Amino acid sequence: MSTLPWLRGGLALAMLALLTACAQAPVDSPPAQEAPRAGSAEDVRTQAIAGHRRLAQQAREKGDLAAAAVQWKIVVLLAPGEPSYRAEQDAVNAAIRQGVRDQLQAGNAALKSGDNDRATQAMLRVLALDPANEDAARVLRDIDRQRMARIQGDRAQKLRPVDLAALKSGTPDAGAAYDLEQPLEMLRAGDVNGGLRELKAYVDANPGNRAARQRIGAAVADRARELQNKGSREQAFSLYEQAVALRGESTPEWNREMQSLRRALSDEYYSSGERAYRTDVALAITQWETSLRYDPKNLRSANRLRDARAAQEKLKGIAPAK
Amino acid sequence: MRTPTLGAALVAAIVLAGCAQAPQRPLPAPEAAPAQEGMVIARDEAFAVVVAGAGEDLGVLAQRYLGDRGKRWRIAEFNDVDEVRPGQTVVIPLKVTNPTGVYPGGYVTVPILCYHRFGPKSSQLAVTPAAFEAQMEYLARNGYHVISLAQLAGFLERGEPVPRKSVVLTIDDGYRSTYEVAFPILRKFGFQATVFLYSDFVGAPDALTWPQMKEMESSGLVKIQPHSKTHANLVTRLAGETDAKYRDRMRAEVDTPVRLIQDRLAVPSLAFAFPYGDVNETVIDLLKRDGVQIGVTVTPGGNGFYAYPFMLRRSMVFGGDSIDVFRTKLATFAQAAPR
Repeated sequence: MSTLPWLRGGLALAMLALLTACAQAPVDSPPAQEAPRAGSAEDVRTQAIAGHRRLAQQAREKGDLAAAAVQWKIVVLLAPGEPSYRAEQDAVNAAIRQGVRDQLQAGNAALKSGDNDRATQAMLRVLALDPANEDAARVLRDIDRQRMARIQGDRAQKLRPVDLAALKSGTPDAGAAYDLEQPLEMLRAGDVNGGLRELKAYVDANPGNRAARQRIGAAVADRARELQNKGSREQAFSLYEQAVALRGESTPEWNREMQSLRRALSDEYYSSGERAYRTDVALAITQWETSLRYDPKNLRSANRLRDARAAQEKLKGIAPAK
Repeated sequence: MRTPTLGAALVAAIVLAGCAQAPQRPLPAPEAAPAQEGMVIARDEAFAVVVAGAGEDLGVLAQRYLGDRGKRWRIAEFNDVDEVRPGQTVVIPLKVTNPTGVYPGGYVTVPILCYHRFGPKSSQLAVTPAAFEAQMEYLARNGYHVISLAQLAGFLERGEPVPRKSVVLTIDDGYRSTYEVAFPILRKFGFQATVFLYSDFVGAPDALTWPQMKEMESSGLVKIQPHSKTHANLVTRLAGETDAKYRDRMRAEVDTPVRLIQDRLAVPSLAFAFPYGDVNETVIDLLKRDGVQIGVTVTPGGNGFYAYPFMLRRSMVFGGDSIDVFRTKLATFAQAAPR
């Protein structure tokens, strides 16, 4: 007899361990159940009922009525003839209906008073009770649409100023530099027209952002240098000009490069005019005019242009009258 | 004295074994033998309570009861298991029990990640191949489900549920590095992504070519979708531009890439990414006429079931993002405010 209280204590401990272990199971899912041997369908059913009842009770204790309702529904499906389970299910569903009514009322009142945050929380509580509630879903959709439209409206009014420190650090705040970084990337990737158009739009919106303008100018000049190295002198010169305009001022290095390009392009057009002159005086004149636009001090082009124009006038004079 | 001790320990062991969740180890690849249909304990229009038969795993059960192997996650989440073993009792949710993903503690949100360029040199908009691979590895190892924008549209507009840890991948502009760097990594992980192309970019030295886009589309992993014609800011008016001229220009910005993608790739446009993330009602009107259902901005954050489909939040991934920073952009659950 002296061992009996000890045995009782041991069993009680074991039961406590059982309850503790069971209480830790997630409330929104049934336990993984190993089926007994084949042919014991009723045993499986009995175990499943016990498991889902436990989950339903745990969910209710945690205040998750929607999960409790789902579990009671499964219990009733497994044991349709048991009135006490149906009563539990009905009680949970009644509590859900009441909660939904209360929270909808609170949410609509908050909405009326213009407190969208409080309305949002109330409507989320409605959906936590009844995840398919259309009224609450509609209110939340309306609120989000208004919120996003407001964000868009704010953005449309002004382009965000660039925080170059954030840009360099690569922190999440670097998103503020996206408006600048995007067109720079377009330019680097070879969409020169698109990149320049967007960079110009950026400078127009942020004319006083000196740091950004220096960065833009440098990027455009880099692209100009690439083209210059590939022999595309005319495009390179045009890009240097745009780099100066976007930066707001030139640099000594760019001045040197542009000067060198001016002379090279002027000579190219001079030679082109020479080739054209034998067969097409008008074209030759255009080429020498272009040569002088690049370098007004190109004496060879100036002389040839003067002579060509005189020759053209002479030709007009001897042209047969119609 | 020894009998009660052993007895109690035995009872406790049995009890604990009964209550504890079975370890969730992935099962080996299924044998070639066909799966045997397990016992159905009970069934109505909403649930089936079944005992998994020999060879029946989550995929087989999803195919059998939900008509789609890809919906295995619905059974897994409902039963809080990674896999099922033969003889295990599971509940198959035949109907959607929570179309909005709202729970007492908060609600499910779907983050849309936005990449641009990939390359060896990291910059704000350029992510290195190693960083991109590490990010995809992080998603794969941490139970994220990469879903398509079409699935997200189903969640927002038709209450079709998505996995609890869903994320959408998007890549803007159409840089060639999408094909050369990102595509092989996406293929390695079997992840889907949407490439938003601005059509004037095609032909530029660093742009995707149509054959590259076709190959990615054919893989079933990548969808090419429109991102405007010129990448101009769609809400900015040109100097002196009238309403009519603005609308015409916007029509070209919307229609040109939509038609080009349809003509060159035979792909209809479901989604549109707004250059710089900016949009207004004029543009949305035009998109709706073209059958577009979703528009993405660059306002960061996740998208709950209630998100306005034409102004979805999207978080940019930057070249300098560490894995810790990347993780902060994976907002898959928003906590509810305390009562």
